[in-house]
Amino acid sequence: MSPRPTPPVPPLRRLADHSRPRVILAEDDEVLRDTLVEELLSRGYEVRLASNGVELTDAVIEAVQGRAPVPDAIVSDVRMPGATGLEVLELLRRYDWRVPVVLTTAFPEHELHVEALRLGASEVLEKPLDLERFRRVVAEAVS
Amino acid sequence: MKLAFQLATVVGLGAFAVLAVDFAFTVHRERAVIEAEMRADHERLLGLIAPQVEVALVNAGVDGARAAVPRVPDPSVWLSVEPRREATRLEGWLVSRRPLGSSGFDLVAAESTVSEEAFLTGSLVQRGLTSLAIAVVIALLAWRFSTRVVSRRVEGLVQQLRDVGAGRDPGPLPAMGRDELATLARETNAMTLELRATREALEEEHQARLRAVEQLRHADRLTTVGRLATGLAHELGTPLSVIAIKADRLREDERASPGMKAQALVIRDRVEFIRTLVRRVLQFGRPLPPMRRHVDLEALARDVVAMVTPLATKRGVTVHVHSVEPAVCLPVDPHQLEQVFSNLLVNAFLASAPGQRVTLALGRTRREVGGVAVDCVLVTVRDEGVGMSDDVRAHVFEPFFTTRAVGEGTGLGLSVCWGIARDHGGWLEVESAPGKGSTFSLVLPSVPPEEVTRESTSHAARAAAATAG
Repeated sequence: MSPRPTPPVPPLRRLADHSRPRVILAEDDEVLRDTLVEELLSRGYEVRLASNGVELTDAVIEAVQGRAPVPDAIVSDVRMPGATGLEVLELLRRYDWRVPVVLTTAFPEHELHVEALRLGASEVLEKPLDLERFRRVVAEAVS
Repeated sequence: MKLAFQLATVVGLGAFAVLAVDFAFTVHRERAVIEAEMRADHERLLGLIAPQVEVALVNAGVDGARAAVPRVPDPSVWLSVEPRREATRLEGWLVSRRPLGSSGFDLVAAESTVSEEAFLTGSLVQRGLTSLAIAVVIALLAWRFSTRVVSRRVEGLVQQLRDVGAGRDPGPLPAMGRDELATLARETNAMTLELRATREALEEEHQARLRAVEQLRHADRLTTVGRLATGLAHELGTPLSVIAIKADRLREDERASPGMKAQALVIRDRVEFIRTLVRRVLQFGRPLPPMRRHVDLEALARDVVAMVTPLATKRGVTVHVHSVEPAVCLPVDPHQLEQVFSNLLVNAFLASAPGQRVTLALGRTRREVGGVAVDCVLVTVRDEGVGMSDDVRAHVFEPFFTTRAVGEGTGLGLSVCWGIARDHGGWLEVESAPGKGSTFSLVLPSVPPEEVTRESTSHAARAAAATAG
């Protein structure tokens, strides 16, 4: 058995020219996605959008490979077509990539909380989202 | 034919036969006695007259001898001198002979037995009638005796068996004495008892099965309703997020007028209401697993009672706590059970009129869980209030079922309690009738199906859930 190839790990520090915090936002509901983007942009975040699990995975891989800027935080829905937020979280862990991940979910089940915390999610937000709390959690994640 | 009649007939005929045989012997003996007496008389008479007849026979021949025979006043006796002959029987006559020396002639005395026979016949008839009367009396006595001793007891047995066969529950038969009927009665009593025990066991089993089926059906219905409600709650999460955030942003918008901001606040407030509702539905559908630790249920109940007593006082209702056993300790989630107790108590208060009492009682019981009888803890909350119709009772644990006015309750309280009871391996029961108050019972198996092992993980999850909320 050959050892698993180690993927290139980008530096975890913020880039010098990077003044605005970068967030990848993954949400399959278009209206909620637009609402959250609007909110994040108005708070001065640079946002990269993903409308499903596949796009989120692509965005993460691009960042890992250095083809895209490294995000300061990922805000992702749990249930999405293509891949779930948990699977992406697992992918990040496999790359040992400690970017803070905030999960949002309308399925606040016990097992989900346990699994998310085990995989190192920094927060699980239950829907319906509370704006105050959303702001605070994202701000804490990028800091 | 009735047994008593048969017995009486047999006894009567038997008695008659015995008496008849006895009588036959008696008649036979009497006849012999009479004959012997008559023969003795003849001997005496012949002995007296023989000498003179013998002299006459020698002197005057046969005719002279016959003439010498004296006349006897009894017309039934006839005396004569006849040639000697072998003794012969003559029907209706008793004949005695005495030889007259060696002359070849006998002195003969013949007496009619007709009057003796008539006497014997009369005696025969009289004693026959007496025997018959005695036999009849004996038969009657036998009939009476067998009626009392046999027939009534047999009829009692028959009635008993008929009752048992028809499913009635007769009391035990009297079984005094050592005869066969008493033994039969004892055996019948034993069989009746055994049948009753069997029947009761069957009935109990049937009831238990019915309850189990009803419970399963109920659980199934609640699960379906819960799944539906949960699905709806999930679907609501995303659009509600949008509405809440938009409203919040509108409130913060500097360009918005105070009127618009006020409207946004109303929207926000209503979203909050729906959020609470959704959370409770989700809790019913998929509540957090209980975080169990050993808790003294009575202490917990008293805490809750103390907490809700002001509401009871306000409504003029008194609350009592009964505990049959000093310590009922179970591994439970105290917060969840608090929720159940307070829900049941508050419901009881709301159903009660001023002056009525609400009783929370703790006890132990044995119930069947999955076909096995297990020890359970029983917590009942009883009120004397308005009670429920069967229809209400059938739906009382379903989410959104409420009998209160719109806005006074979500109808989720009892369904959440039901979910909590289920997650503790137990269930809720309700007994109620209109006007007769209601009794809600929380039944918790003393040995929970899963042991208290996931406490640490549950703690983490609860902490996460609490912060996420």
